[in-house]
Amino acid sequence: MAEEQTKETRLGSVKDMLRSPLRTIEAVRQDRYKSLKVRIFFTVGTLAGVPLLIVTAVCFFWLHAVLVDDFSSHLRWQMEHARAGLEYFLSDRISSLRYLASAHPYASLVNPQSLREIFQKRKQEFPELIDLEVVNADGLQISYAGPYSEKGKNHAQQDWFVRAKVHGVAVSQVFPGDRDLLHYVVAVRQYVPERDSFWILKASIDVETLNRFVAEIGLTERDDAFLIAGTDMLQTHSRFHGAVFQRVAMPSLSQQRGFTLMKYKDEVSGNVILGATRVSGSPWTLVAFMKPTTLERIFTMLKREILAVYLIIVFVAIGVWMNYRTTHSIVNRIRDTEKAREEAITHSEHSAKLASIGRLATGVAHEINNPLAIINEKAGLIKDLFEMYPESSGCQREFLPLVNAISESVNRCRTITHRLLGFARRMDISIEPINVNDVVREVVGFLERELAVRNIRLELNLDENIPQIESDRGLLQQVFLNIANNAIDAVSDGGEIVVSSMPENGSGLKVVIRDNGAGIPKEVLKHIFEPFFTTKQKGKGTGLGLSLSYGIIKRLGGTIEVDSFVDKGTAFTITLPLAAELDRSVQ
Amino acid sequence: MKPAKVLLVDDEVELAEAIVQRLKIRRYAARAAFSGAGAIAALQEEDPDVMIIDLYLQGMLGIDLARSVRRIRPEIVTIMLSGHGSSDAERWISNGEIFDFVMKPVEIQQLVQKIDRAKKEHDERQKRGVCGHARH
Ligand SMILES: Nc1ncnc2c1ncn2[C@@H]1O[C@H](COP(=O)(O)OP(=O)(O)O)[C@@H](O)[C@H]1O
Ligand SMILES: [Mg+2]
Repeated sequence: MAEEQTKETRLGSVKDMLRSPLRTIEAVRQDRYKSLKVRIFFTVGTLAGVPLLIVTAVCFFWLHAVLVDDFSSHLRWQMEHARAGLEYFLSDRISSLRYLASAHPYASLVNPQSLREIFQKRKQEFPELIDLEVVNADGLQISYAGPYSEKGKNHAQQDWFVRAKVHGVAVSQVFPGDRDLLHYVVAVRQYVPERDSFWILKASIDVETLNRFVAEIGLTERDDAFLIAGTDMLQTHSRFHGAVFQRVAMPSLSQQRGFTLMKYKDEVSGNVILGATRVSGSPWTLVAFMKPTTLERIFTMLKREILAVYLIIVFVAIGVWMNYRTTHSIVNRIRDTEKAREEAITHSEHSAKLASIGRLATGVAHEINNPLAIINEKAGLIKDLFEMYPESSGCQREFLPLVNAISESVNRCRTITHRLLGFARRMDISIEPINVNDVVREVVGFLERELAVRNIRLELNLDENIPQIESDRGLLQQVFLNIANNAIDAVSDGGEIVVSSMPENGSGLKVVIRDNGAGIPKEVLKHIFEPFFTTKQKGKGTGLGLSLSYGIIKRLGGTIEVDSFVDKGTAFTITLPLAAELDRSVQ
Repeated sequence: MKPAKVLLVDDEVELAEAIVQRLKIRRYAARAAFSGAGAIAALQEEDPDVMIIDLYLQGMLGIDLARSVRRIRPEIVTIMLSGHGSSDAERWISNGEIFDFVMKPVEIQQLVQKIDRAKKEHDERQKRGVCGHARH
């Protein structure tokens, strides 16, 4: 059915005016398809893209968490290890001091000579030992072995003294010492029951011993680790936060035992992970600022890879899309070509059919002509005889009208056969240069009276720029007259006919005869070029006009096409070449 | 002017006889032949002024007959008769191979006019002694 319709519509290039309502509907439909396409595209895109994004994001954060966790536990393990080492070291110092205090009689410790001997022996085992000192319950120095003896020094106000007095044991903060030898103090209390008093054995130890433990934490050159006393005072050297006794800007840590791990942004080192742990039995907290470099590196790598994957996905999508588009357009083109070919075939079938029908019609006309001629002559003879012998028959009055009716019918047949055959006879085409506009005007001249009687408006829309062509003036007149007559028959009184001419690109010119008449239904349209096809009343139409016009135009190397919409009108378009190249296949 | 002597050549016997009769009624000395051979035979006995020849005869083309007549009896004027429109007819006329052409079915008045014209031509030809080698 749709096939049939294309066949029909392609019979001609439809006039814009007539085509526009159809085109609008088509355009609306196209728009709807387009918006539907866009919507489907985005829905599918979202359906495919969003889960992918979610999965990527989840993986990303999950991996981030795992990596941070791993990094942190590694840091924690290292710091705990260092802290445990330090705690062990301190308790070892304390025990060995206790041993000293209890293994030697008080008298020998008070005696500077023997204390010096004990000190020397100790220092051999433990070179970081700076001095040994015995202090009485009032904080006064009793005896001293070491490099910086200051007789009568009172330690009563010292923190370590107070603590040792109370707790029996004390580890002090780091001191600058008298000669800038950084050290700290370890002190133990020795109770004397017989006097109900105590004395304290105190040792100063080089700060180097602490640095060793701090250095045990596996640091890179961007990390920093140190001991602090109290909340923020440096006790060992820091790579980025200054020297001993300087204050470090850092968050206040809870003083409770245990391990603190946090993210921290520090103006010196930037983003770091801060680990802190109290060293029990001492005033110190072990602190580490770790740059998560490996973490960051892994992340930049990961981000880059995810980005790469996304780019690949995008490129693949674009590729697939372009592939789809190309395939689509190739398929479209193939389809169009096939359609065009089919149309060409049906078109040529159609014209072949018309040509053979035309030949058949002339053949039939010729064959009918002879019997027709006989009827004509016999009837004529009867009339002649009546005229010769008027008295011969009484029924002359009855016969004569009958014979006349026969002659009348023969005349009608003659018009038809002569028209058919006359066309064939007139095929000795005389080609001359023609201005088609003039031919149109002549034809319109023939019709003026009828147009006026029926009050039909005829508009001439002639382009004076059309080229002069080489063709047959008489035949073209006949064609224009046939088509114009049909238009006049088709419009109601007061209707409108427009005849336009225009140059046709490079190939001559076009004449369009358009009316706003009844239009031609599809079933009729198929047949209008066939001889004897007419929808007009008996005696009014011969059905030869278009058939002959078709043959003539074909013979002149042109084309004739029709577009028609029922109740809107009909347009016949005649295309003529610059020079009639006679088509000999038409009889 | 004496009415013309007409020889009508047509293989449609009925048609030929009817036309001949009608011409006779109009006082023409008309007779019919129904084939090319018949026409040649008739030419031996008769001396027509005008020959009306159908384009299609049994076994031959009217134009060939017309050409022979023109060769052997150039003073006879030929009119071609045909139901078949022919683009050649006009060429033959302009070549002088035939004098005129009539389409079937013929209108008797039209035919009569053409015969009269042909007769005039015939008389002129005789006066001029066209081609001068008329055989008797
Ligand atoms: N302008 C037209 N508008 C409507 N119908 C037309 C028009 N031109 C031709 N037709 C249709 O085509 C048929 C054939 O036309 P044609 O061959 O000229 O024969 P006729 O005019 O003798 O009927 C007409 O009977 C008519 O139905
Ligand atoms: Mg018509």
